[in-house]
Parts: sequence; C-alpha cells; structure tokens
Amino acid sequence: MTGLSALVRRVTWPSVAAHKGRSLLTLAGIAIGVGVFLAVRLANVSITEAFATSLDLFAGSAQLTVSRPGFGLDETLLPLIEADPAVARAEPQVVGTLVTADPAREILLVYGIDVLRSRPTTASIDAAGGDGEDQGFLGEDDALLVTRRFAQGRGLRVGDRLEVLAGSRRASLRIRGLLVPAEAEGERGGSASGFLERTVAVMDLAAAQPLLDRVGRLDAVALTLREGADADAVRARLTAALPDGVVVDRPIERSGQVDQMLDAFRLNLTILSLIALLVGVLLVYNTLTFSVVQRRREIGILRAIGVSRRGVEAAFLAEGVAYGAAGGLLGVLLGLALAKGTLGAMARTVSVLYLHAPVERLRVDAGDLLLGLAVGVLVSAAAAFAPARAAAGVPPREPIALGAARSDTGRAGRRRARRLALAGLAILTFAGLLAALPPWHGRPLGGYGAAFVVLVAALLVAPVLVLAVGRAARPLVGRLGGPAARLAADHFVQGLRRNAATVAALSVSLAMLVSVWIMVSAFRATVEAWIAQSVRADLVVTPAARLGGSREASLPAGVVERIRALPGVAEVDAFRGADVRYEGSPIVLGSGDLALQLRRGRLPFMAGTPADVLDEVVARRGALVSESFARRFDRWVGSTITLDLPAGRRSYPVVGVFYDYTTDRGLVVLDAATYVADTGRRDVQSAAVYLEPGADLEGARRSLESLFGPDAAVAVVSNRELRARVLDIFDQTFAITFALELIAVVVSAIAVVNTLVASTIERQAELGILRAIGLGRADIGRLVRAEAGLIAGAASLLGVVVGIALSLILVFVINRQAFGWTIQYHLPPEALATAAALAVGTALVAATWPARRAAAQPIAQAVRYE
Amino acid sequence: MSKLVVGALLPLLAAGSVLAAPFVYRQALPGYRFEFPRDHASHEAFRTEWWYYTGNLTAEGGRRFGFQVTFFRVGLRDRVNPDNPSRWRPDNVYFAHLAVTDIGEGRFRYWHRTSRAGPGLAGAASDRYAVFIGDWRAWLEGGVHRLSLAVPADRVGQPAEVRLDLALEPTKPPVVHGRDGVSQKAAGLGRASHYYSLTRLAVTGTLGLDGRDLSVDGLAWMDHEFGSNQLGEDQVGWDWLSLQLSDGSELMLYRLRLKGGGVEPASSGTVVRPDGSSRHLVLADFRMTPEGTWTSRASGGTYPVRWRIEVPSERIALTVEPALEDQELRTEGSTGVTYWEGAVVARGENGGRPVDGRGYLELTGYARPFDTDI
Repeated sequence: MTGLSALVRRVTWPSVAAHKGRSLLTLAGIAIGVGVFLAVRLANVSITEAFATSLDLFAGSAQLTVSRPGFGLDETLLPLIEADPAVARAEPQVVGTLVTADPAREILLVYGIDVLRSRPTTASIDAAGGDGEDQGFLGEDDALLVTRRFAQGRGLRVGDRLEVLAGSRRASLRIRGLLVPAEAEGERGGSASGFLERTVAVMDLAAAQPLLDRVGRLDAVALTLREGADADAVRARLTAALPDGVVVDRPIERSGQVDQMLDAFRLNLTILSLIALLVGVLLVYNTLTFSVVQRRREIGILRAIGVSRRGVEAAFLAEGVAYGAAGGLLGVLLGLALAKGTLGAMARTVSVLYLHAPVERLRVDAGDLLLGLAVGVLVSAAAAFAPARAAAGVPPREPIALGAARSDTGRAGRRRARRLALAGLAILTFAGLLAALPPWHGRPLGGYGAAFVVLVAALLVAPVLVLAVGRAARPLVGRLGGPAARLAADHFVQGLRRNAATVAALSVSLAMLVSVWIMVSAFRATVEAWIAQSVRADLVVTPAARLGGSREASLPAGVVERIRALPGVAEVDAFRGADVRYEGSPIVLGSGDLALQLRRGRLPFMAGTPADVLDEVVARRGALVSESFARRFDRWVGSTITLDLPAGRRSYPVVGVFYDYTTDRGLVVLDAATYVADTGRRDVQSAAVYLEPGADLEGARRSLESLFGPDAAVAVVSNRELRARVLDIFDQTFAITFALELIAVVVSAIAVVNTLVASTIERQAELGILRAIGLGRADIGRLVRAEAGLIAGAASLLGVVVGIALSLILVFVINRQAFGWTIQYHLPPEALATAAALAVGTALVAATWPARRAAAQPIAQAVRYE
Repeated sequence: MSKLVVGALLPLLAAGSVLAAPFVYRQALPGYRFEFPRDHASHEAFRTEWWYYTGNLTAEGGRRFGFQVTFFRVGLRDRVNPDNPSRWRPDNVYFAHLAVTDIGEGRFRYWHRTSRAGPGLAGAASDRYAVFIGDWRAWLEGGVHRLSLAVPADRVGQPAEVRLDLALEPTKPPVVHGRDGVSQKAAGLGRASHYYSLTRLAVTGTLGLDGRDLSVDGLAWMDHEFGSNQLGEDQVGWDWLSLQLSDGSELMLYRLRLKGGGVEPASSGTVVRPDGSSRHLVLADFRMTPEGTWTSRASGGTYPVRWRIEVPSERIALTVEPALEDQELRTEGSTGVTYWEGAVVARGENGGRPVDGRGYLELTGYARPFDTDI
C-alpha cells in the first residue's frame, strides 16, 4: 500500500493539481450525477414515508386495518369488528381533504377520529395554545385541531376561525387545539418519526363525517390486537365475517398499495436520474483517458524504475476512486439541496395524479447518503477501469519524442473504432429483442433494458462517427475557415478516444432530451386530441375543492335536476366515481349517462363504433374499460370483470375499450343507472352541461354559479378552460422530467469544456509554434471553437438519431407497459432542431474559455511547455 | 351517589356551549312522581344520570369480595347541532367503572370505559332499563337486575381477568331519597337530583377471576340518580356511605364538603327499616366523624377511610372500617376523576341492639379533584 500511496502522491496528485480546472469540472460532473440520483431517491422515499407516517398518526400501534376501498366501510359493522375476542382496540377514522378558502389553497389532510377513544400516536394535543382555558370541543361541529406549525405559519391562535372549502361547500371552522409532535412533548412514547406534516388536521368524527361527506361511513378501522394474537387468523376470521369487498390488511400493506400505485411514476424518475449518472461516468472516463495519454512518458519511466503494471493500474483506479469519493461527497450535498427544492413539485404531481400526498419534509437517513457516496465511487471506479488498463499497458521506458500528444488514429486505432461500431450495431438486435419482452410484474424492464442497450450502442459507434465526421469535415471546414479550421478537423480526429467520449457524453444526454421531448410532445398532442374529442360539454360543474386538489369532493345533492331546470340547458350528464380495487389493485370505477354520451359525446374507442358499443353497454349492463385497464389486467372485449360493490359481488361483460389518459390505474365505466343501483352511491363528483344551440355561454355560467347559493364552493368551467387545465396538469407532470434532462445536458456541457481545455493544454506547444509561424490570436481562438463545433456536430447527429430510437422505445414499449396508453407517435421537427442547436450552442459557449485561454498564451511560454 | 364523579365532567364536556341550541335540560324539581319500572330507564331530558351497583359477595368456601359497577350518562344535547346526521353526534357520553375488591387476597382492581352511542357502541334505552358500553351491560329482566361485564386478559388465549355475571333481586321496594321526589344538593331550585335506591338486592351469580369461576351470593345496593345542574359552586368533595345492617335495616348518608372546610347544609341521608319504610335524615340528624386516614401513593390523596357514624334519634352508633385500605380508582382517560370507592364493614348498635353490617363508602375530592384529561 505504501507503494500505491507513494505513486498517488507522486504521479496522480501532481497531475490533478496541475489541471485544477479540469479536475473541478470532473468533480462537478460526478457531483451532479450523484446529486440527481440521490435527489430522486430521497424525494421518492419521502413521499412513501409521508403516507406511512400519516397512517401512523392514529394507528401507530395497529396491527390490522379494516377498510372498504371506494365506498367506505359501513360504520354499523364496528360493533361486530370490536367484538372479535382478539381485538383490544378498534379505532374508527375517516380521512379526507379540506382546502383552505384563501388564494393559497392549501390542502389539509383531515383525520376524523372518535376523540373519546383515539389519541394521536405521534402527536399530542395542546388544547390551550396560549389563550383561553382548556375546554372540551366534543359536540362542536366546527372544531378543528391543526398543527402548531400550521397555526403559527398563518398567525392563527386557538379560538380563531379558518375558512375552508369542504367538497362543494364553504365552511368556517374554529381552531380548538394544536397538534404538537409527540417527541417535543416527550410523552406517549413518540414513534420514531415524531414529526407531523404541517398540513394534517384532526376533527371529531361527528364533525368530520358531514363535512367530508362520509355520514354513515368510515375510511378505516385501525385494530390493536391483544398480546399473542395471530394477526393472520384474525384477518381471516374478520374477512369471513364481514361483507365482500371489505379489506382487512396490515397497515404496511396500505402503504404498499400506495407504493404500487406510484411504482411506474417513480421507476421512470429513477431511470431518468441514472442518465445523469451515466453522463458523469463518461466524464470520468474522458478525464482519465486524457490523463493517461498525456502521461505516457511518465508512466514509461515509472515502469522502467520498477513500478509494476498492477501498481500503475492501481494508481489510475485510485484516481478514479478519488474523483468518485470527492464528487460523491459534493453530490450528496447537491442531492440534498435538489431534493429539498423539488420535493414540493413532486408532491404536487403525485397529488394531482394519484392521491393527496401530505409531503413536506424531506426524510433523509444515513443509508441514503452513504448510498449516494458509494454510487459515486463505484461508477467512477468503473469509469476508471479502461483508462487504468490502458496505462498499465504502457511499456517501460517507451521512447517518447513528442511528450504528451499521441494520436490514436493510426491504423490500429481505426480498426478498433470500426470493430466497436460493428459491435454496437450488433447489440442493437439485442435491444430489439428486449423491447419485445412483456412487462415484468407490471414494470417495463425490457423497455428500459432496450433503451440502455441503445445508449451503449451509441457509445460504441461514437469513435467511428468521430473519424467520419472529421474526415468529412476537413475539406469543408478548410474551405470555410482556412488553415486553422482544417487543423481543427485534424486534431478532432487525432484526439479520437477523448473526443469520442465527449461526443458520446453529449450525444447520450441529447438523445435523452430528444427522446423525452418527442415522447412528451407526441403524448401532449394525443391528449389534446383526445380531450377535444371526448369532452363535448359546454360547461363543467365541479366542486371548487376538487380544483384545489381534493380528490373526493362531491357536488350538492340534487344538483343534476336543478341544473337541468335552468333555461338554456339542453342536457346534463352526472359523473360519479370511486377509487376501488380490482383483483387487489387500485383502479377507478366511474359512471356517466351513456345514452347521453351516445347522443352527444364521441368517446374514442379502440375497437367498435361508439354507437354499437354504447348501445350494448346500456342493454347488457356491461362495462367499458380504459385501455390502461385492458392492458394491465388483460381484459378485452368479450371478457368479464367482477367487482365487489356495496350491493354485493357483480360481474360485467366488457363491451368496449376506450382511450383514456386520466389515470394509469385503469378505469372501469358503468352506465349511471347500473352504477347507482350496484354501489348505492348517488353523490355526483362533477356534471357536464350541454346548452341549447345558440344559448349564451356566459349567461349560463352566471346562472349556474348563483344556483348553489352563497355558501357553495362550486366551480363552473368552460370547455376551453377545462382543456387548458388538463394540459396544465400535463405540463406540470412533465416539468420534473424536463428538469432532469436539462441537468444531463449541463453535465455534458461540462464534458465539452473539459475536453477542450484538455485539448488546448495538450497542444500548447503546437499552438505556440502556430503562433510563432504567424497565426493570430483570433485564429487560435477560431481553431478551438471549430473543434468544439465538430464535437457538437457529431454529437447532434448521434444524439438525434439515438433520441429518435429511444423515443420509439419510450412510446411503444415503456409507456404502454408502465401506464398502458397509446400515444400517437409523431416527430416534432422543432424538437430535433432545438436539440441540435442546443448542442452546438452549448459547445460554442463551452469553448469560449478554452479558446480565450489558448489564444492568450504567450508564444514563448507555450513553446517552453515542451 | 357519586355525583362529584360526574360533576367533574361538567366543566369538561358541557362548558362553553357555543351554539344557541334550543335544547334545554330539565331541572330536578319537587313534585316528581317516581314510577317503576319506568324510572329505571334512562332520562334523556336530564343532563346527567348514573346507575350504581355496589355490593359484598361471598363465594363458596367463604372467600369475600366487594364489587362496584357504575354506568354514567352525560348529555350534551344542549351543545350539539341537532341537524348533524352523524351517528357519532355525541348527544350523550357514557362512562362505566368496574371495580372488584378481593378482600381475602387484599387485592383491588378496577377498569373503566368511555364511549358515545355511535353505531351501537354504547347506550341507555329510554323505554326500558338497558344500559351498555360494548359488552358491559346492565338490564332488567322480569324484575331482576342483571349485570354482565368481562375484562379480557391482555394476552389472547388466557382467561378473562374478571367476569361478572350477576342476578340482583330486590327484596324491598325502591326508596326515594329526599323530600317530594327531589334530593336537594345545594340551596336553590333545581340544585337537586331525582334519586332512589334499591337498598337490599339479593345477589346470586358468577364471579370469574383469572379463569376461575366462583359461584357467589351476597347483598348489593343500587343507586339511580338523574338531574341537570345539581352541583353547588363551592362544593369540593363528597363523602357517601351505604350500609346494610344485620338486623334488616339500611342506612345511607352523604356529606357535601365546601371550600374552607364547611359542610353543605343540604347534606342528608335515609334510614330504611326492615319493613321497607324509610325516614329522610337532614344534616342535623346525623354525625359523620373521620377516625383514620389512608394515603394513596399513586395519587397522593389522603382519604378518611375510617368513620364513626351516629344517628342519635335512631340510636344508631357505628364504626366503619374499610375491608381493604387501597380501593382508589384513578380513571384517566374516562371520567378523569380519582376517587376512593370501597367495601366497608360496620359494627355497633341500632336501636340499642348490637348489629354489624357491610356496605360501600365513596370519598371524592381528596386527590386532584378536577383532573381533566379530555
């Protein structure tokens, strides 16, 4: 080891120290890669844990939970549950969301509990809160407990009022106590978390049920079992004793359901984050390769004085590991900052798409940070492997005439490049095979594998591309830019290995950007066309709380009849829906007036004409399923689906499969009459209003808005606004994706700077001689910029081609398998052009500093460098 | 009797009525005519109500036990929103206390429960006598009072800690306390309750203790009291005593203690003769003198658990000793009240003849009298 440390001290360190700028850039690349990877992981974990702790708030010690997904548990079952001899405590709760009525529109996650039997397990109640004496709030319909931080943040005190939107109503609640994390109080044992998300709130069940529209129903009953009870036996007993559709599970499985729901979403982000890491790897490879080339002479001398091959290899590996460790450390810090910054955006996306995520605090444990560091070290070590091997291959005392610069574009180099390219093309068939694989446990692993193989192929093809571009560019740039540019083209080819790595790094990130761009743009166009076709109503009436992010809000009773009676209204369709389970997985069950759809709408079907399908669904009491449902469960027209509904177990023939992009969980639609009969639920989540021909839209909107009285919180949205809103949500969803892509581009820009700086240093002597024989400073600058332009050109070419290939995988394999929807593929030319321009622009900006540096070098010093 | 137990709840549950609710609880006013069995049932028009069983039991082999079973109801109908359709609307909150004194083993155990009616979780019927919280029940069956309560063991598979299945048959008609149907608790109209007792109930049944079922018999006392705001503001505690004497008579006495050490002038009692006839006693008719105390390590309260009792006009003179010193209930999480309620033995004279007897003593307001925890 002393040998190695001496080597590192004498060989590695001076090189690192001598090229501070390049070393820093390499570090930055790794740091960004590790940072993005860690940030995505932390945000994912935080969202999962936020659900877990919010489940803990009132069921921290519960071993089992009884619930009735979609429709709520009939509360009269509680005595039966409580009577089980193994049940020590049965704690009923409803959980819903309220939205603050102020413009901030904060979503409160409200737990309605029986305050006589339940106490928060992770919080204590500070009822005094400053003024006023301790008074029980039992029996007050407006009593609300909020977290102390929520109250402080809004300047609220105990006794103050808080205006909220509850479903389609406006309600004025009174803060009757503050929730304080148990830890701070040091009582009730305080679970590990001891943390309260700021926006949780508590009410008594009697007050919460009418407010959250849950009268007669419970969302969960948390069961604490007696010591020694066999939870599985209790579960089996209760499942047998309770009606079909009631689910008895362990709390961990409930957060498991959340995990399952978010799985595709999170996997996607994780894979994207790995791209940034991959670019970081290429950067390390780039730096070390250059370092080896530059120090061949030194290495030869070292070998001559007795340092073993293994010793040389170890020294370069150590350099890679050192970059990895330092970059990983920086990356961990960056990851923490990034995760803090993006958590809110991710939580919002999850809330909009899946279920309310009360996420606010970043959960960090040492394991995650160590993982980030380890990932940094491992990928850098892996990236250092090939250069280290190359260094070890340098023979002792190699006679070196011209110091650093060595061209590897000799015949051997060219042959090697061609072989690599052939290998790259060969593995593309493997990518094709992977893409054809079915999903694995609902995950499009084959698709991700195919995408990875395509990227590897791109790396393998890069050297040949560099040769080809260099050769092709030489006469062309010569004509345009004179001798300096021709020199650039030569040099571009000469630094094959390094430039190939740079081109590869830039093209990989460009390819990802291009592919996601194509996919998102095609997806957006598909959704836009779909919504234009499927949403035909002039106005949509929906609870304001729903627009504020509350997923379960309903409209006031009798709303459809009242709207229908308004002048100018031709027809009204009521949409109902519930989150239910099918074969144990969460899906959405919905209903509408399908006869009306037949007259008015043009539901886009995958098969069959809408008229036939809709006729059949009404006549046969059948079900329509969304494409995502059909794909996920493999239920197509002709099959039968069975659901446990409040009226009992019901089977429906699938009579149509329609395109839908509202949920990747899968959507089953019944006719309104069937839905109401089989679920017993009449509450309407939104209503679509069709006006008489020629009716005044704004007039109709005003009369709808005043229909529900001053206490109502009902939003009336026009067709155009609704479409805009859907696209807004769409854009918001993909904002994170784009951010990750841009970060990858930034990392590759660093790679370009790195390469160019290295290149100018490497050629200082040459540049000095060029200056000496009469080239101006401007010429030198142009030369460096031209080389940058060639790198960018090659990368754009490769990036766009690979990007298109990846986009096909994303659209036809990954999205279809993970989310189950069909995207109408098309190539947006502006995306391709912008990506290419971005690459060239990035390279030219990146070249500025190296160009200036090269040009500013005094001739004498440059020559002396030799 | 235990009015302070419930009284302690009032500031907690019934204070600060925000809504100008139309519901007004009925006052306990003179002229109330009791009618049985109707008046065993719940009286929802009054705010507070309790059914209170205390008794001394003997198992075969002579092992002796004391037991206390109490159901309380506290009404909140004057503060709830009557339009709220939720079954969880707390029109009433029910509490139950169960205590068993194993006199031979010197062991006292107690349990308590709290619930609102909810979807069939607890309740007290108004048309017949049946009160319950979960599987703790008291009801009337053909003139016989029935109690059924069980406390399961912490571990599954182990026998219940306690199981109480008792039939209690009245051997005397109900005795209405006070005058003209009201038992006055302080000066002022309505500062009173409607209060009657079944002073001699013949008990038979089963007491299961940690898996051993014992056949028991003995004597019990039942109090049923309801009113709306009987408590005086300056009353800090309560000493209540019931005795069943060996000559077939019974005695009930209570003293309301005032701030500053005085005794509420409305404090009173009742003597019940073997033939069932009774006499109302006013404060001037009796003397209750503490003769020894016991200090609770758990609560710090010091209770006068030994007494000298005198009713000169009846030539009653008795000393009262606890069957066990530690019979303190600390009910954090339900009523939140800490009090002493326990089996006692009495010895002395009645009408000049030597008697002994058994009974129950209740002492409230000696330890953290208004400990509120909800």
